[in-house]
Amino acid sequence: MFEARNVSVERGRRTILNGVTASFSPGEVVGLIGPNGAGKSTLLKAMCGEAGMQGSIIVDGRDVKTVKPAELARRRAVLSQHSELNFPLTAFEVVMLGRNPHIVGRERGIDREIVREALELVDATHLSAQLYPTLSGGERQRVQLARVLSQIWEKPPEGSRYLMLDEPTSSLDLAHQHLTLEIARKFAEQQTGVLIVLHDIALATAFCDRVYMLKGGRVHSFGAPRAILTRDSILDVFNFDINRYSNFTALFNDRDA
Amino acid sequence: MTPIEATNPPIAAARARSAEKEGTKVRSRASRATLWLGVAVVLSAVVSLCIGAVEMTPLQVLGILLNKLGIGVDIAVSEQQASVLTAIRLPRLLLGIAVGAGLAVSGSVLQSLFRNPLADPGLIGVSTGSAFAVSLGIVLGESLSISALSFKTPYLLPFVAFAGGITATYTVYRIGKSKVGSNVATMLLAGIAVNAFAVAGIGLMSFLATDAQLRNILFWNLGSLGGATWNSLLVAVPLIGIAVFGLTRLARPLNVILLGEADAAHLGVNVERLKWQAICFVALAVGAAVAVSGAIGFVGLIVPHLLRLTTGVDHRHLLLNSALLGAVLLVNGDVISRTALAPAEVPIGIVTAIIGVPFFVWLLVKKNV
Repeated sequence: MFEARNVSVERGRRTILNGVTASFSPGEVVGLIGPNGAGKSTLLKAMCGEAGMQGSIIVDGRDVKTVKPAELARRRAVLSQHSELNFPLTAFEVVMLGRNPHIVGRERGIDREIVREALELVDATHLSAQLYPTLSGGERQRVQLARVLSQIWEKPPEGSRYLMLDEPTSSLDLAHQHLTLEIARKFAEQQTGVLIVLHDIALATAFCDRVYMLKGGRVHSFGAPRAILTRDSILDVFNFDINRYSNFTALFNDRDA
Repeated sequence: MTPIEATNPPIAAARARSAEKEGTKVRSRASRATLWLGVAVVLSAVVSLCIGAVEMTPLQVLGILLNKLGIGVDIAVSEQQASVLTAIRLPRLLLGIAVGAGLAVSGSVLQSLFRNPLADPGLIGVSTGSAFAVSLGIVLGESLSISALSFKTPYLLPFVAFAGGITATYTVYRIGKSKVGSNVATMLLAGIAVNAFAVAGIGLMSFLATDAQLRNILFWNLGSLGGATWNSLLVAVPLIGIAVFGLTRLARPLNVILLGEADAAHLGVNVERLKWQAICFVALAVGAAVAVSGAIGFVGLIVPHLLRLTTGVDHRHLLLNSALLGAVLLVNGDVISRTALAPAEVPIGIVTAIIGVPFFVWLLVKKNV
């Protein structure tokens, strides 16, 4: 289990996370949803040790600070929201960087095989010889996903695998959004713990086992998506009524009829 | 139809394999480049040893070198040719190779570390920082009568230059770094500021210097391999060698850090340690180079660029090839500097700038298109 216990993050005088406790376990896909600025990405970053924070992160009962970075890198992969890569590596080379924690010396045949399979899984095989900076936003996102997947492709000897995805679908078309979440499910079936920051409530409902709804740096509610993603809770958290357009829909339907 | 169904696995796998072959091709192209660059270093070395005020043939050069090594061969050489070769040209050639390799590898590493193809030891203040420290050393050293800083026995100068270089680089790095990550634009602006400060410092030292000191300071600012002696080699070559070797050992994490610092950390790279090691080695190489040959610009900018365009980004090849191409560039630049206005010598810093500035401008224009 990967847990954040009582995590708080402050930036300047602003409190971004306020005593958040959350966790995800091997075999499940857990969604983080909430409005802009609710602290979803900050929570994910705190859980992978990026942001300066108070509280503790526990991996399988051990404080994350006591886990060696190399071991952690073999077991836990993180897809960031923004990529800073602007050097002309090919997509294949970018995905190969994901194998870095497993390679001692030169890369092996198995590493190349895994990179090939990861590219195929994200539907980016045709991009593998292309230079990364020439790819479109969605293509880059899929290549980065392949890199992250190749990092935890096999079950490591040390323990369970964890996958953290920060808005993995933000630049993707409809089909690839679903593909990404199908991949997340597939990894969960192979006993990987998956944590995903999502904006799309429909996707969260369809693919997540559990969902944390964040609001103002706190956990508003958590549980099975169908139980907690109600009209009332969404109105409360997002300040948006999902029935708002039902009259418009009726209007269009009337017109079509 | 989901994309999974849309993909035909055998065809997809074949495509990936061909992409991988493409990768192998790039790799073998990089290895071939290493071979050709090695040949180019040897050829440049021969040219550089033969050409000059005292002409000699490659055969005569070989004869003198073999004689020096104690293998007697029967090739007619004059006393003058032998002493010019061993006392002047050979140390100058070796220094050119070391300095060129050090500057080019430093440039490659800085560009990756800053994730910006415009980073160069000159642009971010390492070179001028070192030159400032050296001029400070020259002026203060004499007033405080520290003989190790004087021009004749320059053993301490590389370390002084190193201190100046690392201070400048670290300052630039700190200014450009915020909580969110490194801001490259800020960092380059900081480089300009640090550069300006160092240049002002050099100006102040020149103002305070005696005539003899002034000549030394001027020499360091223009850059020249003319001061090469076996003594200066003895100091500079091991330092540059250690730094270049150390940097090539960082090739793998340098590949990973191209993804950004946060992503590199997620891949198990100790980012803080990598940055420290890289900056220290760069400051050591550039500091040692500046201490013996002055601030020679643009080698560190051009070389990695040319190589990335032709042989790819992978540091396992890039760094070695950078060292070789840097050596070729500087050795040939030195030949031009010695022969263009013979018997006078154009400082090599001017030669590399004349070649480098148009290239730099071309790069900027091309990037904006």
